[in-house]
Amino acid sequence: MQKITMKFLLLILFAVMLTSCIDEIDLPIRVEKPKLVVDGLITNENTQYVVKLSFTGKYQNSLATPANLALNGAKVTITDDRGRKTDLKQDVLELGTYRTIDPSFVGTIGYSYKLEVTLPSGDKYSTKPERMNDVAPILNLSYEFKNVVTNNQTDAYQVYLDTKDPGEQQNFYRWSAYGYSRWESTGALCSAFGPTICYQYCWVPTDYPQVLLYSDASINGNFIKKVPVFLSPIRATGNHFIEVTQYSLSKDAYTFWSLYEEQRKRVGTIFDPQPAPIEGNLVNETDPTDIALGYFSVSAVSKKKLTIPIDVSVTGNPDLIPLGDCRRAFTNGTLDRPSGWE
Amino acid sequence: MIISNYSYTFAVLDESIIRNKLKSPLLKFSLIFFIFAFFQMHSNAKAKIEGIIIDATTKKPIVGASIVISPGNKGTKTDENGKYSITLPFGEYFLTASAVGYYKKTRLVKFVDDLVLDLELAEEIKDFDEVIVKGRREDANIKDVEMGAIKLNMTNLRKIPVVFGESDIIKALTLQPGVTTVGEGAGGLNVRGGKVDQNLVTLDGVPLFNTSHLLGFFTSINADVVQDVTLYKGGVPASSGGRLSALLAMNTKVGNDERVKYSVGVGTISSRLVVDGPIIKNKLNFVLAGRIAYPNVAIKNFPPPIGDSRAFFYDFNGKLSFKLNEKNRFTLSGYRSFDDFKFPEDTAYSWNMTQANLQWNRVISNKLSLNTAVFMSNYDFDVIGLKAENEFLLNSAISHKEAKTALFYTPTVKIKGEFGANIIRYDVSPSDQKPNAPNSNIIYEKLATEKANEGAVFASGEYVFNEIFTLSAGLRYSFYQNLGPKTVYNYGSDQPRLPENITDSTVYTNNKVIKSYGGLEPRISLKIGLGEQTSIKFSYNKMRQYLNLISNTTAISPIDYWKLADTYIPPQIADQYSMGIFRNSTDNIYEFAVEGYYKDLTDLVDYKKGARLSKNPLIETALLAAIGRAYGLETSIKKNKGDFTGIISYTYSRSLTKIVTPFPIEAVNGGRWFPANYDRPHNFTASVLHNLGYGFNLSGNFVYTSGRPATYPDGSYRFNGLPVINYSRRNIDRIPDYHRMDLSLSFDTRKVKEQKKYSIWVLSFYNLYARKNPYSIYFTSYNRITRSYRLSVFGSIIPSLTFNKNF
Repeated sequence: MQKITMKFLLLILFAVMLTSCIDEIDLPIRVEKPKLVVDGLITNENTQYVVKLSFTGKYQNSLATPANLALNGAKVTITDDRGRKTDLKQDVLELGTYRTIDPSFVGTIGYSYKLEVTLPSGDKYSTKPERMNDVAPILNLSYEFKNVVTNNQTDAYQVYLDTKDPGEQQNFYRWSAYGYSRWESTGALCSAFGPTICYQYCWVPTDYPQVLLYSDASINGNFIKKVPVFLSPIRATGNHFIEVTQYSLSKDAYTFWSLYEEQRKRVGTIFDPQPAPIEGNLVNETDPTDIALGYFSVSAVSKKKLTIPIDVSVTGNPDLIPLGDCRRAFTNGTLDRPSGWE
Repeated sequence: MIISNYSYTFAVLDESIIRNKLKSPLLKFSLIFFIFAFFQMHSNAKAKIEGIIIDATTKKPIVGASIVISPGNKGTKTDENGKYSITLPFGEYFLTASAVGYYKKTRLVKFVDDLVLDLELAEEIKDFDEVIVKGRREDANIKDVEMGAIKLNMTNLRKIPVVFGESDIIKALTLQPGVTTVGEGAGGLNVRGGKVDQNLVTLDGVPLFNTSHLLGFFTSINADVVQDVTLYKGGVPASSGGRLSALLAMNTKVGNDERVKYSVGVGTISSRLVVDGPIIKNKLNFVLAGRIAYPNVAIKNFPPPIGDSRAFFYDFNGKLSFKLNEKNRFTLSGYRSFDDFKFPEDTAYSWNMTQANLQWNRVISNKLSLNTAVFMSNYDFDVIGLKAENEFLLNSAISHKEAKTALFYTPTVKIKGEFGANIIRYDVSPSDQKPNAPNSNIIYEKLATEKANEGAVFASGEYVFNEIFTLSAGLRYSFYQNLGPKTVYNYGSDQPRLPENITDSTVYTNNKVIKSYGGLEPRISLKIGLGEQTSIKFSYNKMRQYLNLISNTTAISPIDYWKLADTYIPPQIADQYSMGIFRNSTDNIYEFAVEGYYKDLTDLVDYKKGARLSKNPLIETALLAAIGRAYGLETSIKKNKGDFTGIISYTYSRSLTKIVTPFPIEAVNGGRWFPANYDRPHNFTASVLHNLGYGFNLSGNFVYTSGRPATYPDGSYRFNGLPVINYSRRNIDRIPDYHRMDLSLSFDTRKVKEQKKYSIWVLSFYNLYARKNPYSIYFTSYNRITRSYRLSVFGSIIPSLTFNKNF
C-alpha cells in the first residue's frame, strides 16, 4: 500500500516535471537590408587560401550560396606587415569564392595579415592586421568505442585530443577534424555477365560540424587533456582514418567563434544571452559601424593523424545498410583506401 | 400526553440528535401497524415538532433563530430560551435552522408523531486568522497618504492556486497590478517596468540578494513563517533606499506567548514545519521554521540523462524575542537558504544565503521610540565543474553588513515623524576559481574583490492638516564610497572603453576612496480627501542604487553576479511621479483605484553586443550606459468583504530603454528607444476567493499579459559551411501573449476559531486549460534547415495537493 502511494506520488511529480515542452512553429525569418558576410582563412600551410563573400538574405536548404546572394566581381587582397601583397582571383565555378593564385605567398608565424575587399559598388572594407600566433603540436590522439543507443544511429569511435598549452602567453584554440571509415551497402552486380556482388563496401568521409574552441585562461601552461574532437560512425567492420587540425586563434577571433557557436547552440532557455549580430573583423573603411558578419581568420595550424585498427567484434547497424552500389548509396563514397594514413 | 418511556434513534447525518418520543412499547406496535392506513386515510393528521437551537461552542440557546420548513415554507423563530415549536401534517420535510452569525443547518425530517429536534449551530467564521489583518482600517486606502503599496493577505495566500502546491509570495504578487515577470520559472519580479535587481527585498529589514529556489520556480522564503508582506511600487518611505524600483518588505512571525504550537505542511515538492511558543512566559519566545525539498527522490527514478540531474533546496528561519521590560524588547533572528542543482551535463550549481539580525526596540516615552538594528546578509554562488581532469569551483559572493537606527516621534495623532541613519559595508568577490581535484588542470584565477560603504541619513514627517489634506514629506541623503585596494584602468577619453584602449592605470591602497557618489532623495506624498469615500493622492520619489546585478539574459540566471558602483559605473537614479484616484463604496466593501505613474531612469547598466560577463577582469569594457523610461496606468476593483472577495485589475504600462554612447559602433538599434526585456503593455489579472462555508474555499486566478519583447532573426547566411542566422535589432519583436487560469479548492477543518488542532487541505490546478504559454521563441538549424520553435515551461495542467496540520 505504502509503495503504491509512493509510486502514485512519483507519477504525479513526473507528469508535472515533464510538462515543459518544445513545439515547432511556423514563423518566417524576416529579411532586412542585406549585410556583407566574409568567410576566409589564411594559415601557415602552403596551400590556396580561400575567402568567400556573400550577403545575408534568405537561405533555403542548400549547401551552396544562392546566386543572388553571392558577391561576385569584388577586388580581394591579402597584405602582410612586411610589405607583401597578393590578389585573390574569383573562382569561375563557385560563386562568391576567391582564391590566392601565387603559390609563393605562404603564411608565416609571427607575421600579421590584413584582408582588403573592394565591392563592385566601390565600397572598401578591410580588417585590422591580425598576427599569426604560434600553435602547439597535438601531443596525442586517443579513441574510445561509444555505444549509441538511439534508433537509426550507429555506434561510433569517440576521438580525443591531448595537447600542452605553452605557459608564456595567452592562447586560444580551435579544432576541426574529419575522417574516413568503411561503410556498407547491399552492393551491386560486378558486371552484367555474372552474379557476383561488388561495390558492397566503400570509404566515406565524415566531418564533424561542431566548433571546438578553447581558451587557456583557466589552465594556462597545463595540459589540455581528453578534448572530444571527433565522432567516427561505425558502419562496417574496418579501419577508421582520422585527421585533426589544431588552429591558433587571436583573442578577437576566439571571441568571434565563441559568439558564433553560442548562437548556433541557442535553445531558448532562460540561460541564453541576448542575441546579437556576430560581427567580425571586416569593417567598412568609411563607416566604422558597417561591420561585415563572419570572420577572416589568421591561424597557424598543427595536424595529427590517427588510424583506428580493425576490430572484428565491431560491426555496423544492420538496419542501416542501404540498397545498391556503396559509391552511390553514400555521398562521396570511394573504393580507394584513403592515403596518407599508416 | 404522559411521557413514560423514551426510545432513542440516532440520526447518522450529524451530531444533532433526533429523539423520537414514543408513548409506550405497546403503542409502538400499534403505531407501526396503523402507519400506512393512517397516511392514506388521514393524510391531514398533524403533529408537533419542537426543540432548542443552541450555539455549538458555548452550548447556550440562540435567540431569534429562524426555522423554515419546506415544502410549505412554514416558518417560526426561537424564543428567548432558544425554543421553537411548529405543527405540521405527518410527512417528510426539510427543516432549516439559521441565525445571524451562524452557519445554517438543514435536516431531513420524517415524522408521524410529535417530534423533538434540537440543533447546534456553529458560529460562522469568515476569516480564521483575522488577527493578522486587524491592523488595517477598512478605509485606509482612502484616508492614508500612502499610495502604490500592496499588502498581501497572508491568510488568502495559502488558498490561492499555486504551482506544485508551494504557497509563494512572489508568485502571488505577480497577480497584482503593476507587477510582472518575464516568464514562468523566472526569478524575481518586475515592478512598474523596473529590473529584477532594482527591488529591495527585505526579510525583517535585512536585504536578500537572491529570492529564488530552483532557478526561479519558487521564492526562497517559506510563506508559512511570514506574517506580513508589503510591496511599495512607489512612495517608498525615506527610511528605505538603495534600489530604484520597489521595496518588498516581508516580516516573519513573532512567537506566541501562550503555548508551543506546531504547523506542518506536506506538498509535492517540499515539506514545511513551523514551531513557535514561549520559553519564558511573557518574556522570551521563539519561532523556528524550516522547509526542505525532495525533487531528487523523483529525479532519481528517471532514466538518464534526466536521472543524472539533481535538485535540492532548504531554507530555515529562526527568531528569538526577548522582552526585557515594558520599554525594551530585543529580537535576534536568522535565515539560511541553500540550493543545489545539476543538469545532466558536467556542471552543478549551488547557492546559499545567510542572514543574521539583532534588533532593539526601546520605548522612550509614549511619544518617542527608538529602533536600532545591526545585521548582515551574505549571498554565495558556486559553479562546480565535474569534468574529469577539469574539476573546478567558481565562486562569487556578496556580503552586506549594516547598522541602522531610527527614532519615531508621534507628538499628536496628527503628526508623525521619523529620523534615522544607516551605514552599509559591502564586500563583493565577483569571481574566484579554484581547481577542485588533485589532478585538475584548472588553475587558480581570482578577480579583484570590491569594497564599498553606503550610508544614508533620513528624516520624514507626516502631518494631517484636516479632513482633506495630509502631507507626507521625507528627505534622504545617501552617499557611497568605492574603496581600495584596486587597480583602476584608464581609457583613452575619445575612444570606446575597450581593453586595447587602456592608456594607464591607477593603484589604490586598502580603504583608499576611489570614487564617491551621493545625493538627496526627496520622497513626497500628498492626499486630498474628497469626502468620506474618495481621495486623490500625488507622490514623487527619487531613488539611487549603488549596485547592479550583472546579467545579460532575459531572466535573471544563476550565473549572474553583483557588481558595486565604481569609477566607470555610476549609481542608477530614478525619479518617479505618480497620481491616483481612490474611491470606496458600499461601506468599504468595494475599493476602486486608478493609479498612473511616470519614471525617468538614468545610468542603467546595459551590455555590449556579445559581451563577456563571466570572469571578466575588465567588466567596464563589456558594459554600456543606458537610460530608461517607464509609464503606466493601473486600474483595479477590489472586493474586501463577504463570501466573495477578490481583485480585478487592468494595467497598461511601458518600459523603454535607450543606450547612450558617443560611439556609433556601440549603439544598439541605431541609438533609438527600444522596449526593455520586461515591457509587457497589457496586463489583466483577476484573483477571486469564494468562501463556500464549512471551511471550504474556492479560489481562482486569471492572468493575461502581452508577450514580452524578443529578438527574432532578420537574415541568414552561411559561415564555416553552416547556416547562421543574423539578429540585427534588439527587442523589436514580441512573443505571443500569455494567459492562464488556475483554480484551487481548500478545506479548513476548523469548526471554531479557537480550535487548537486543525488541518488545511489545498487541491490546486495550475494552468487549468493547459495552455502552452510560450516562454520563448527561438530559431535553430537542424540538418542545415533553420526552423522556429516555441518553448513552454508548463505545457499542461499542473495538479497538486498540499496538506497543512496545526497543533
